[in-house]
Amino acid sequence: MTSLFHAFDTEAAVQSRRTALGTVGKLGLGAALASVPFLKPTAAYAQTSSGDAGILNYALTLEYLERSFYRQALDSGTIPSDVRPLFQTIYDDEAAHVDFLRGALQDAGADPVDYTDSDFVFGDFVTSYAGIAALAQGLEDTGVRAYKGQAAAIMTPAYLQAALQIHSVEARHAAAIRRLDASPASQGWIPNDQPGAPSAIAPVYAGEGNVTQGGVNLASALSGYSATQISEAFDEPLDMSSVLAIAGQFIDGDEGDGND
Amino acid sequence: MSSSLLKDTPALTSRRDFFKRAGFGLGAAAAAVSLQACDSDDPVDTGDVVTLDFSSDFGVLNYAYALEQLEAGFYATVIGDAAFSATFNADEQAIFADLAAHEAIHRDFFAAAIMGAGGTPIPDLTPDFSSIDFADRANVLAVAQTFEDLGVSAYNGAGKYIQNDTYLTLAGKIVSVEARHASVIAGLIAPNTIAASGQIDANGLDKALEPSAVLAAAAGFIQDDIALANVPTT
Repeated sequence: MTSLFHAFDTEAAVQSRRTALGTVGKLGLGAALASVPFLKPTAAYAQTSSGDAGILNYALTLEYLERSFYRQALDSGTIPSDVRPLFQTIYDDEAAHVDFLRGALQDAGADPVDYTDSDFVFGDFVTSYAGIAALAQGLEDTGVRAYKGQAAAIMTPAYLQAALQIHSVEARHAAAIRRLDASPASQGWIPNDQPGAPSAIAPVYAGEGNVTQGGVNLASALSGYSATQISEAFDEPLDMSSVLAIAGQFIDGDEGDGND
Repeated sequence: MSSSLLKDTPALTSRRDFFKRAGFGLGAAAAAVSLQACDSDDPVDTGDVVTLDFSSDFGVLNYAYALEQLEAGFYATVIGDAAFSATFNADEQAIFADLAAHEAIHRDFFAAAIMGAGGTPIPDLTPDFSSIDFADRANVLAVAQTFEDLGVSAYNGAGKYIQNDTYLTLAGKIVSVEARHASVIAGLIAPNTIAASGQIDANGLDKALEPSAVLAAAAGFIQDDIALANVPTT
């Protein structure tokens, strides 16, 4: 099972990332999050807005995180020139999403959350191309799950449609990033629960191996397909607190100090 | 950056109000309009008319089912073509095999889900792939891109018409896989791209199309006439 992760998920790399982020040894992700002062699951969006605006601010927080990640990745000088245009395109999309969501919130009379690039810290995930590719995959797949997890909660039709329009762009990003590992060529979709993901990213894939849809176990009900193919054919949603636990690993600053 | 799309709809309009306003469940007697009514010169037109009635979620699910039938039929033909292994390299063959499986799974899922929920799936549609040269790599990739982008645009545009939250999430589970397909196909056509030109706008938004536009784009690939009924006006 090939994935971008195999190049990065060495114990040394993981250990080094933990050191860089100030996390604590072999504790599980949840325990590490609870014990590290700067890892603050972002509460700001919840304080400033609720309902559809709350969901848009949640989405905006994730878009800030992605924008910052790609800007830092592009600035690292480690992305090979032959794939740099892809990373630039993705950065441009994430920056456009930030601007779009800010505008949508302002049009609705709500306050957009503010984050700057320096509010996000990615440690060794932005010091090597292997790290960049691994976290890019993790963040894109997280974004897909995050938007999907909120779709049914959005009440305004125009907001729902806009969220879906961003959601599918994140999925396009995810697939293109997944394809970067070309020896052998990798898949653009998620097989099962993505075995081999590094510890910081493994929670991104919790439950992705689901083959029960609409209450029917499709692995049993449909013949002619493998369970892996069935799991690939459906991406799974992720709830807000699980997404924020993943994102919170990389947030190291306060909301409300500008948006550059 | 402009968010004019959102300005078009009053912020206080909720999805639930929207459905009431649109007359869902009230037996609104909007006339069904055949998209192929002007297509009588189509030599392979079978004359069958399939109506997608959006007054319930079954209409939306059958709309998705129709598109999945089209995609599944296309990829089955791609991988079944005698020249398949000569036309495509090993990487591309693996991708098309996955796409064929995913779309067939989606198709079979919708048939089962619609029946399981007490609805009636539309009949098997008869594709018309006569315009496609399945031994021409560029042609097959171009059509694949058309179908995948159309599928993404269709789901993005139809989400707001789904009343049941479970079905909306299910559509979300599928549309992101369609978007992954679309991205991979785009990358085969032109490295470092994720979509056809114009598919993603300046706000970073993927296209969303109304059902009438989607069916008009698909009509040339389907022999049956597909009609829409009771699609809410936005």
